[in-house]
Amino acid sequence: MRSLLPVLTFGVGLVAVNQAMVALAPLPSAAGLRSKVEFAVEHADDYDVLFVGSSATMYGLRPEIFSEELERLGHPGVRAFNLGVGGMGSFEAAHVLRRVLEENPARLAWVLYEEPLFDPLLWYPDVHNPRYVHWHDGRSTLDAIDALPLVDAPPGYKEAEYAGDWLGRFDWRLAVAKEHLDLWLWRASALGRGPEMTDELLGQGAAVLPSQSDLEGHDGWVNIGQDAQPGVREAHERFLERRGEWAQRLADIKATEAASGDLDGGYDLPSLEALLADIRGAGAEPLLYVAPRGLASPQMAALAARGTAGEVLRFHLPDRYPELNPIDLRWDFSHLNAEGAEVWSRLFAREFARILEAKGAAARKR
Amino acid sequence: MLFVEFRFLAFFGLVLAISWALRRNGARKAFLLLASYAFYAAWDWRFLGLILLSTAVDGVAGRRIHEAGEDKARRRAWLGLSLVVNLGVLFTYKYFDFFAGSLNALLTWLGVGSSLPVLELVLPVGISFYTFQTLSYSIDIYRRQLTPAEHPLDLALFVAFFPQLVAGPIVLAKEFLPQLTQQARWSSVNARAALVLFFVGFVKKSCFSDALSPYVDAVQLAPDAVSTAGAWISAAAFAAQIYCDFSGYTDMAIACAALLGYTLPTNFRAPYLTRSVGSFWTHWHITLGRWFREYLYFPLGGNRRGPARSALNIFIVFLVSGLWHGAAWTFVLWGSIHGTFVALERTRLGRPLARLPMIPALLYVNLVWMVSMVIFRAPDLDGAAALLRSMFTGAPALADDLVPIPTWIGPSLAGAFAIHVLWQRLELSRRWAALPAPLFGLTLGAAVALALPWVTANPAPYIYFAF
Repeated sequence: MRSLLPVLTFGVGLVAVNQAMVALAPLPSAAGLRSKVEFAVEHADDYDVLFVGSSATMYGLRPEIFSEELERLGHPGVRAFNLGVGGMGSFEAAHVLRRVLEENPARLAWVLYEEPLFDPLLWYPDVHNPRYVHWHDGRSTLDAIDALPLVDAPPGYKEAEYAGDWLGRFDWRLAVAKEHLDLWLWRASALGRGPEMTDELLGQGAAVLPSQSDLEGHDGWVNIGQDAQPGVREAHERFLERRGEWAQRLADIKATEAASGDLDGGYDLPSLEALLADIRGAGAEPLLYVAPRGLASPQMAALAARGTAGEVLRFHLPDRYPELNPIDLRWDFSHLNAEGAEVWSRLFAREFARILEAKGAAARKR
Repeated sequence: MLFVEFRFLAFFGLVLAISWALRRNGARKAFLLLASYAFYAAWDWRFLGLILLSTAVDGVAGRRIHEAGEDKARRRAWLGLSLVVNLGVLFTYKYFDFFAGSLNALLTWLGVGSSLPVLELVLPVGISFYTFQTLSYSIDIYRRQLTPAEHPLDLALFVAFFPQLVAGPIVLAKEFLPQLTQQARWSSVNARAALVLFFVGFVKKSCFSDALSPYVDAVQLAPDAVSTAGAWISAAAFAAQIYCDFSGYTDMAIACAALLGYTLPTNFRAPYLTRSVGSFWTHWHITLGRWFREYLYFPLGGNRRGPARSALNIFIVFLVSGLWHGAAWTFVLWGSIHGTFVALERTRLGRPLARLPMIPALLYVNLVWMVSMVIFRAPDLDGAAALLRSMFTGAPALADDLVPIPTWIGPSLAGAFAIHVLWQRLELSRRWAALPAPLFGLTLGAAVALALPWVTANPAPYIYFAF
């Protein structure tokens, strides 16, 4: 027992200081993740509605317009915050949302969640990038690994890499699972975060954008036309060169959606159910939606048909929401411009009011 | 397999557990030899043949030298074989292309136009280190300072012992072979001191050397794109980097060997705190200096043939030492600079330097080192000249460095300074290891957790692996 004591104290010292270091490691500032999450946590009690999603949500939903339209429709005093972040996938979004829900937000009544696809693949070439590392806590890591059997093939450019991995020789999914575990280890040890922490302590970290005042002014919405993030302007220029393809995109969405069938066991229902349970556990109601980002979403069609998550608002359907089809409302193929964001926000408010009224009617009947 | 990689930690943990589980000394040595060969094969298994060749030649030569008794001619012949084979292999792999290329350039310049072939061979990792070790074995037997290894296994393990195989410290046969004759005992291992040493070495390499390396590399790629301040900062950063890199490796090597029950010699003793260039070389890469002193400087006559010959001998040793580091004119120049300074310090001209107060003396030594290391690090003489120009003439006059100076270079340099100066001066390793066991465990755990965030994602190979 005496010889084990230093081993035990080693563990205690390691874990205690490690927890402090992990807590000191700042969230990645890319795409506004850090400022948005920090703002949402700090103002968790100020909002009734939270939009959670990708850049399509970040640029496309204007909470002040949403609230204004709701008020016009007879639902005053609803305050929403846009927690959309560029490049945020479902596991990352779920992790971020849980972080906000941990604050037990007093007013939060609705979480409007964009297209939860729960893709467990790691697409970026630089696997150890901070955006991957930060969400790999124990739970999210296991959730992502659990979802791997539902995926048929790895990203094409990674096939050779996985095939060359000693674990990947048995099954490429094992190589991906190893990546997830590696990321968990990185997060758990704050590995490689020292320079950022030093910059932070010295007050010389990268500028955290959007600023808190910008976030407060627009409740989290970012005007894509004024966003200086890398690639935003280039995507717009590419879109202008190829705007003739937009009509074909809409036709493709219609064709794909018409042909979509069942979930066929290829969807991560356990992760979805856990997410819905977490939202309800925090006293809020979940509502799923698909953003008008110029792509079909057959899985959400199947999920809507199945009814697991109640109604799914599918704003990407050109026939159901023709107001969003005009090309002048778009910044690029995936994102609406500021005018498009206003149109979608009002449309979303109308659909949301309908759901609120239906719920109210159902409650009155009971 | 770098010492700072997780796979090395796993490999070493396994080797440690199995080696101490083996009760018989012979079995333990055989296992450690196999582990050492596996370690080397992880770099490049093809070059294992060279280690086996060197071991076999010196095994035979050493025994024959010993058996030749008073027959001087036979003793010389067998020693000659050892020198020819070992230095021949080293020359072929490391120096042939350099000399052939230089000769070709000279002949072309003279208008002769002869063209010697260039082999373009890959340099086997650690070849300069293990070649010097095996040579020490044959030479010491020849000098009757050593008897041949009792068993070929002992010699093979001396040559290939993995903690020191690829970058030293350069162990002499006469100090290592006797350790192999007796069964090592765990009770005589100072595990706490070894763990502290391993951790400190890990921090030097992973947290400081690897943090400084990207900036140094970027400046080397664009020496004309840095301001005077940037050039000086990069020179200071490289001085800190190479110390943390090499002494960090050495610390980990000594610690690994200690945990396995063997003692390796000290290689660094706060070199940047020395007050003359001559003294610096008795504190930096001590085992290389010792090897050159014993096997080159003394045979050349040392200081027994008058001041002029002594100065020449010193210059020759440093010239060869420069070439030992690498086959390039930058290393020749670097060695010559140090040879000149050390030789000058021993003449009348050096007397004022010896009387310098502490701070100017430290500045003098570190200035010589930093400036000469610019030449050492540069890819060629032109690259060195470009950076030296930026350092000393202020040209080009840049308002902003095109190679931005990272904000954390300051903390990294401060950390490297602290670990070099305070750590050694205050004997913190010894004090730390002497703490009560539970407190030792607690502080080590806390220190590991503090260090991990500064570990870089992609550890750079040790600088001295290239030699």
